[in-house]
Amino acid sequence: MLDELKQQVRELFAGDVGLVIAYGRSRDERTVPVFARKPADADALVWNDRCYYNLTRYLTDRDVMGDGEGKIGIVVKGCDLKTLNVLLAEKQVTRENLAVVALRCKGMKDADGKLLAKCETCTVADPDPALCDCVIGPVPQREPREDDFADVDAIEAMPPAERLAHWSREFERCLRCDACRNICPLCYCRECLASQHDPRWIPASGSATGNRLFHLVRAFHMAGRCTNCGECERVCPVGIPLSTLMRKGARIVRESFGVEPGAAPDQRSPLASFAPNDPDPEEVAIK
Amino acid sequence: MIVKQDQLNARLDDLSKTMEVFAPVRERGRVYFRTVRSSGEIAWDYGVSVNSIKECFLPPRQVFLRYTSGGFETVPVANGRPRLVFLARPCDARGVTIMDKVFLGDRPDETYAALRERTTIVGLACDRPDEHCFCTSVGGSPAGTEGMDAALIPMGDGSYDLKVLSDKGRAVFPDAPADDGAIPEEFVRKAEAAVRRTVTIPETLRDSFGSDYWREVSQSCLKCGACAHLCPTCHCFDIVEEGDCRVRCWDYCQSDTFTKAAAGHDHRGAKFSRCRQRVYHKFDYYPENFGIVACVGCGRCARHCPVNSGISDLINGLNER
Amino acid sequence: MKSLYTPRLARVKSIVAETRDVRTLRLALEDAADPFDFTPGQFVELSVPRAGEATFCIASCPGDEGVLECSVKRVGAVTEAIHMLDPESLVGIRGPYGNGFPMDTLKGKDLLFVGGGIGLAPLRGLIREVLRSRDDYGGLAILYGARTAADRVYKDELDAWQGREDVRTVLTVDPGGELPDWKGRVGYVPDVLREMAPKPDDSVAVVCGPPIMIRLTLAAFDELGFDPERVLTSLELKMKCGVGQCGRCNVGPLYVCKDGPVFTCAQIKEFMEDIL
Repeated sequence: MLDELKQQVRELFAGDVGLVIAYGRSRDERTVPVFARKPADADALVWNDRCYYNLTRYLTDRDVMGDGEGKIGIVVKGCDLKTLNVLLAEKQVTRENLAVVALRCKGMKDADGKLLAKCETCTVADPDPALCDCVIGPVPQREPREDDFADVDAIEAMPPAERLAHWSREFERCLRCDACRNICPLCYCRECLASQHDPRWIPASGSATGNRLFHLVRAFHMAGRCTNCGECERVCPVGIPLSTLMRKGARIVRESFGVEPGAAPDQRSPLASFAPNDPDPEEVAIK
Repeated sequence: MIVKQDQLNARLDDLSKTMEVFAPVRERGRVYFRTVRSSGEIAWDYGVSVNSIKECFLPPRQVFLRYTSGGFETVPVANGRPRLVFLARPCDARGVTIMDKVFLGDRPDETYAALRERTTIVGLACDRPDEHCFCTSVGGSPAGTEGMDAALIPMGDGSYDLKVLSDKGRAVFPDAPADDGAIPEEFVRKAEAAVRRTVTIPETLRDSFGSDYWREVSQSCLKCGACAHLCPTCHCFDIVEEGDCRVRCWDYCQSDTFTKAAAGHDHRGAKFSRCRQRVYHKFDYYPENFGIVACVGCGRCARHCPVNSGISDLINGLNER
Repeated sequence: MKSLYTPRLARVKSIVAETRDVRTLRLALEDAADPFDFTPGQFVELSVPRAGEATFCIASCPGDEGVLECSVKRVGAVTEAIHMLDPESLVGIRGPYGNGFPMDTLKGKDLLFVGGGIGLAPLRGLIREVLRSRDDYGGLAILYGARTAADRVYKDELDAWQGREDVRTVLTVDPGGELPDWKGRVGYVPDVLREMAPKPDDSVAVVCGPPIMIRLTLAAFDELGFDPERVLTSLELKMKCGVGQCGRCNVGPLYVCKDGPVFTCAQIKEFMEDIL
């Protein structure tokens, strides 16, 4: 499978692709995002169970993308493809400018060797060929379990005051390092609200208020868009359960609008658009 | 003086009546330095904590000025209780002495000086460097005692060789006999041999300032502050207004707003120049100004970088060019 | 308890609207008994309670006893707040910080002051100080450019300098910035400098202005054969602490707030791309 991937990438360079964002190896032998710019770079690509990065993140990185000329190749897993669909729907990238190489995936593991939570419930291990330029790899034998939202339910079971205390304790741990925001492919605002000085919407310092605002505002900005790639939670140095927060929003959107973010590249974003049959606010059961 | 872990725990419980104790605690599968109320909370068996101990001296957030009708009121640093940092690794203790060069230099910072004054650091020599540690390449050692007021050398059988190294250390362990503070050679040898990673800092680092290398290696960087906030020697900070007070808080040079002036000019706008700045500040400029590399080889940046990039890789990669 | 960060109180005595977005504030420290000795080229951190603190070079000279002036361009939250101040408003001052101009090395030399826009502010303090002991210096020339005629700061003082026989004053505006009755030159400062073709000889040049102007002007001085040790500039990068600790203004091994803001071109040449 890896050889097929390398060959595919080499062929992309023979075409009109100038940059391929893929997985490679760092000097200290860890799997890292790499930026191949010539056929020979394909030799160093890797594919393993530590390829957890959602590389679509780099499609909105202006330092990497340069002046946007030429076609960009990108290696994606099924989950990353969902995020790509949101980027396409939000017109941050154009399909014609991309060569999408999808990989069939057996699941990713964290630094301790444990299967990622999102992989346990994955239904996109075999990416839809209609959304990519090619799909590589054997069809994986996966038996995903249903996402039971147990972590979300556990918090919903708390009365409001307890819930506030729970999240306040979580956000107190926050260092405001911005790793969660910066790794998110959908946090692509050129000037993040949290960085604005004038007016200063969100306190810069790690104050209790500032931290709560930062995370709650981000959760709101993600609702209806986030495809639950889980990267935010993976990268948090202090282990804040950000995925739980994002999935809460995802569940509300699913139940109210019947929409799964990232299902298609032209899907409307329920909270960023209005349709006559949108549910009445009163009808939306928010627990 | 050889002491058992439970003797130390008992001493700690005693000390926590009058001192604020900052020690490693296991949370969510990782170890963090936190304020503890009892010895039972302490994770003795740990490698390197996620956070460093620098927050004891440079608080992540500090209200230092309050506005009054007549002008400004200085806010003294809170909680005047003496503090004990317990089981700090040699890299972390050394990191504090490196920060001292900035904050206790020609214009001493009052907060930092006050916190330094009332904090005692008891260190734990390191017998378990992991694949990211490289303290021996930057002037440190897993058996180092720089910055410590007392040191505990693990004997391997649940007991520790306690070495009192300063008056503050003596105040915390008054029963320990006078000690020359020398760490057993056997321990030092074994510990240093266990550090697998080496970093060779090129002599010509300054010459590589304009190299394309920085553009290449910085591509995956997310410009977040994970490395800086966890680093024992990163100390850049911001000063901001928050309502009726002025606050000092941690900041990071990778941030989009770090160098951006109000009028819009950003002299370090490109990602690669930020990535380069972090490396050069630690390995070139700091040595030029203070004679010491501003890195203790703790490996946190490599361990916690969202895209698995570490500063040792960046330096070693340059050597290969 | 006083700390490094406790500002001294100062009162706004007068405000001059230099241009549509620049005001010059004259300040008087409340505790006048406590001396405030500074050298031209040093700066202060000016605080407006609840709005913030920002860096401003001192635009007056030590010789003007009891006078402390800062010129402020309105570009953001803090400067907006400063522009909303009235006379008698209370502000905070920290400083003086920075190295200031090396007055001793300037003595006896021919001096060429090159300013752009609000960059005339630190030069003004220096020029005033030099003019106070005119005989200590050689030939003096001032080249000042602004985007338009209306954007020139210190218009009255510029007229006064132009009126002097012992100073050569050349004023220019950017192409398109002239008014029908504009009698000065039209052209960007570096280009006008090349036209003036100053000789290096025994000269020292002092340059201050927006980053792009500094960069191009320093390059022009290089073309004109000036020794980089004899071309000075006053940099202004984003600063916070003002005392070399917060790391914001760090460039190369230098801290603009501590080792600068006045630098020779030689000092900063190596890191030019990281500054300008």
